[in-house]
Amino acid sequence: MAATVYGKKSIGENTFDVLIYIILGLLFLMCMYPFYYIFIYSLSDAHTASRNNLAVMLYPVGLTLNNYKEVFAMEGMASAALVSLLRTAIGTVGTVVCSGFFAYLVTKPMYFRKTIYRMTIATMYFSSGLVPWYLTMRKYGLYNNFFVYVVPSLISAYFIILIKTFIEQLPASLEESAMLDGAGYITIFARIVFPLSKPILATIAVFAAVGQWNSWFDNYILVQNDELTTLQLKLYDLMRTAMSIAEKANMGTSAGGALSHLEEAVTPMSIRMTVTMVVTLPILLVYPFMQRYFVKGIMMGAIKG
Amino acid sequence: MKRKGATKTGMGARAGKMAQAARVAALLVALAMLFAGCQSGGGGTTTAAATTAATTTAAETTAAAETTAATEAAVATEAAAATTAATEAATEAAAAPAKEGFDENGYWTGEITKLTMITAAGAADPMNTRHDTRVHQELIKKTGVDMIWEDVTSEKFNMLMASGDLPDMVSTGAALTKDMEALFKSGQVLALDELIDQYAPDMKRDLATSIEITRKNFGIGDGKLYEIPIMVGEVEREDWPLYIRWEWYKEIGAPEFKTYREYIDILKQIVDLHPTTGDGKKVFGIGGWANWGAGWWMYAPEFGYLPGWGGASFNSGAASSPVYVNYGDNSMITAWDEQSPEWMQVEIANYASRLGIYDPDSLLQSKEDFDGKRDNGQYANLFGNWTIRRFNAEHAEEGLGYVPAIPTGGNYYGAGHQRSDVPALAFLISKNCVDPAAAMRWINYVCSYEGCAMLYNGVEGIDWVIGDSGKPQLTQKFLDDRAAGVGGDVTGIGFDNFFSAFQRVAIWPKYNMPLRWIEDREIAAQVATKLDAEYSAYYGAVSVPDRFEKAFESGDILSMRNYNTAAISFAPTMPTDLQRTTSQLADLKIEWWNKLFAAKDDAEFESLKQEAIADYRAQFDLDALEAWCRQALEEGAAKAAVN
Repeated sequence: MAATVYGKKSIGENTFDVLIYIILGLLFLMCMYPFYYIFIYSLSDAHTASRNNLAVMLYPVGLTLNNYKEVFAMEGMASAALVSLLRTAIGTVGTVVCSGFFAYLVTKPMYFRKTIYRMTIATMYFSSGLVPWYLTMRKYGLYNNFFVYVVPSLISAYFIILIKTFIEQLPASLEESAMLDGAGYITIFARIVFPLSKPILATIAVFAAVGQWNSWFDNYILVQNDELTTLQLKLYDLMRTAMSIAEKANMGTSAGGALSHLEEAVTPMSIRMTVTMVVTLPILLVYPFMQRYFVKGIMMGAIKG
Repeated sequence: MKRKGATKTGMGARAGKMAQAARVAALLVALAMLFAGCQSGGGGTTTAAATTAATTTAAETTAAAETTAATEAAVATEAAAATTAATEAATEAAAAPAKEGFDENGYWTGEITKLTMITAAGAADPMNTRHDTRVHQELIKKTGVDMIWEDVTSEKFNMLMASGDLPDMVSTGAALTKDMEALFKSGQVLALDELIDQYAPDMKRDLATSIEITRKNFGIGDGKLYEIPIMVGEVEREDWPLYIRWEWYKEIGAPEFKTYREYIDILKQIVDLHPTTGDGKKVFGIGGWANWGAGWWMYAPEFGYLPGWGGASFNSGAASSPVYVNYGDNSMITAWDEQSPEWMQVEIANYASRLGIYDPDSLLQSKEDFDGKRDNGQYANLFGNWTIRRFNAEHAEEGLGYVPAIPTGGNYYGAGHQRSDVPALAFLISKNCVDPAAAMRWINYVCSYEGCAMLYNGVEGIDWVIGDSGKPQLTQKFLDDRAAGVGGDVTGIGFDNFFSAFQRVAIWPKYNMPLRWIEDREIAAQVATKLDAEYSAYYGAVSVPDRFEKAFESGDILSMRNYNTAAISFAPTMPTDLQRTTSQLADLKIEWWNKLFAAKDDAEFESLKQEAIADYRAQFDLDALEAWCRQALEEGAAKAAVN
């Protein structure tokens, strides 16, 4: 014990530490390498990488930004990125506020509270199916409407469970004091519950932001307007174009035929890697800012179950 | 400080009522949010495969497309050259009065209509990206329709059908599945007869036979036509399965072969001579990839074409066919029969494996990895002309690359060399179409010989002209573009995937030539690469198509020109329970094939084969499956005979 306090460790302890470092180091590599591989592949010459599947291991081969050039040269990329950013920002704020307030309300004693809560939870287990969902959204006027990205995700049963559990462990006396001072539910939520719930709300914000950023299916099904196309769908289109041109082009006889610009410049794999980078990087930046809340939020929500 | 205590005072009572009112209000807000939000589970988290969604649904009209001065000048110049010896047909065309709404050049004079067409063919992106090419712009001018394509998954297609939201037009498989029948009966797509009579005289003339076949067999018994048949006509060479590295094949004397085993022996000789490529990479005889669902069997069944058997799947969606039909006499054999052509495929792979020329990664590697090796030239043989493209595009001018390996002895059939008026694909016009007349005008052009020739060959007057002989000829611009490597993404030529009424090798009776001019044996010589020229000359042919024709003429390979595939086309769709059996059987077959590849000798192969057949029979009621297939083919043949 004394040896540890003064920094002198026994051989056994040192060995144990080294082992731990090795194991953790390996785990770190296992987690990081796939992402690093995608990164270096996206910076490699598409055809060199494709023809030597072991060439791209530690560093890019034939270092080039061609893949990124092709991706960013796509028409409408700026507007798609803006739509994705907007939906992420508005959608995340909306989800945090609405799910937070809803969760707060279902902690209050009122008629049908449990029924409403259970009905909400039921949406985690039962889906209406694609066609009824599509028809409902159309009825709501959300077809070709930016708010289709925001409104359907305002209330999420999973988030509500997390927030409700968190709110329930806040001291009831805080609210009661506020109520005695004349504060209503909205004031209490805005001034007391919301600030105190920051850890869980930050966690929800990360979940919601990642979900919003990655989402494409609502765009695919319900938005046909080019100006409202999201980055995800745009990039997926590019990936599919590269693949369908590469796979389906059939120029007949061995006389062959000229390769298209896209075929010359990239391969389906290089586009896939580049698109993965473009899509993943921005959302990765969210984590460091939210990390200090993140673990705490999940843990505190989890204790009470 | 309990809430209960607070409500006992007067002020507390008022506060309590207000709190109650606030609760009710909050409850209402919460309910509203719940109903709005509870649908979210159906939205953002679904994981169906995505396809393009860039489209507009409205039929906005725009100003008539402007004719570029350059184009007109080129047309005028070339046309002037052509008129000196214009053909009778061309003269007739010139003398014909302009159709209503079109000018003397056949260009639409009204407003341009924007239409949307959905397709499950996976071709929308390449089509949309060619919007500004000269071929697409010509198409717009010729039809007055600016078409936007949208790829849809079957999931989205079903959703659009169920919700009645189909866009203006649909491109789909022609087979009369239950979904299609339901679609026709629901009134969501228009009956087309009147529209054809009014707006599609050219198509009605050129597709007459197929239209009648479609009306009789792909309708709902009310005598109306609901779909326009496309991709019909004569097919040849398109799916030729065997391509061999010419410089290596020539080096060993380009030996003839009559059987598959002889062919594999030739590949063995090549691999022995060239165990590695120039830069030291290992060379294999044959190989494949494993990530296309059914493993490398995605292309292996092409082996089956040559001996004269075609797989019949009855729209089962299974990875391999339950039965095979003989091209010659329409007889049927089950996949599990000892004599089935499928066993021959497995045996060939095993034989190659035993000789050590089969890429052992074939059962593991992805298509991308295969492509890398393929483009390195690591395979002595490639299957299908679509796999040889990149290597040939990069090396054919050096005289290197892959050429068709054609057997002798008349044992095998030329793949797909047949005529079919039974469509594989079709166009539909939905009841939501904002301008059915415009849609039919577009169909009329695309589904005529004239329209197809434009899609395949480019704009008349720019890419080709009618020459002194009265037949189409390529212009210098076409040849220069091709030599300079200007691709279809720039010119729009080859604007054909899944949207042309006729196959590219269908014959246009007016000129007695394949619709894609460079498939013609004479014209092909003009665009031949050094590789093509060397290969053709070696066999005394003027071009690659000529080499095929000569092989047919000499009887080295058998023509399926008079073979009728209609029996398979008209056979009914397999019932769901048998579809399931067929899919499960296909999975089981793959398991056994993997074991069979590794058999060390003929005896072990034969023993495993017997075990596999016994296992198939033990696990499935194959007699019931066989009986249904036989009955279905008889029905198909009976229908084909009537047609």
